Amino acid sequence: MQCEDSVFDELMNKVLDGEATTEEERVFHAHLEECESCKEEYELLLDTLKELQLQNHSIKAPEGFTQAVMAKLPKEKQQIKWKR
Amino acid sequence: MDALVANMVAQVKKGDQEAFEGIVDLFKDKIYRHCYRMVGNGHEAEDLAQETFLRAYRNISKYNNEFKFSTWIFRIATNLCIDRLRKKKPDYYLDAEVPGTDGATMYSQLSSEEPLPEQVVTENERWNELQEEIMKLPEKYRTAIVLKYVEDLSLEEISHIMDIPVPTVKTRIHRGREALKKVFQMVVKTR
Repeated sequence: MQCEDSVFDELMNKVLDGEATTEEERVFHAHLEECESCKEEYELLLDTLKELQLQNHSIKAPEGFTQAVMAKLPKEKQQIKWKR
Repeated sequence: MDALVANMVAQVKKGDQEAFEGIVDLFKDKIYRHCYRMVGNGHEAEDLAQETFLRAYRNISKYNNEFKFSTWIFRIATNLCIDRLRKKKPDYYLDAEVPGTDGATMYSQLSSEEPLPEQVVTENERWNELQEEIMKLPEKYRTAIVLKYVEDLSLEEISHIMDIPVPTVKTRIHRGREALKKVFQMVVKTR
């Protein structure tokens, strides 16, 4: 469900982008107090983005990743080093 | 950190392979995570992340300091992921009949695998759910959302990585958020 007033959609994007002025922030949050659907939408989005960022630290390159990459590098350069 | 990376890159350009190990160590988690969010599968993400570093190594002489090194390597990773996504054909179609099941489709198979209500939602399931929602986003919105919210990059950097102007990046982030919100509303409602 979306608020009929699409002005608030635009405002929500501005707020989320951190580009809203203090006055715009105030207008937006005052609207949330009155509009259940906008409030729900805004909170859902904030939760989703927060969740996405929270999960980040648990996604890591698997064990032995660096060694696997190094083993696949072209060998020529290594020979140059070897000859030194 | 930027100076450290620049120094390592200079060493690699001179032919010092060991210096590249430092670069891999420094960026492997970011690049792997980016690939994982883009393709939604650990094995493929590993494969793509490895390919990203190999390609970076082979093309290191082409890297000039026009962009930050991280921007350059993210661009390689993003392009590889998008290529992979475009080449990938679905392994099966959901409405195709499952052989030997007398008319059962993949849809009916899927519904029987739905978790039981009493099952506790674990961390891992919540994670998978979110990843599944990300996978539903069209690739251009997904790329923008992942770069912005997973990697926390600036609009300027995303613009260089995706090779599109900043206002277009903004539009894609907005549309991506919009789409993410919609799929999530459906998830919440069906609970």
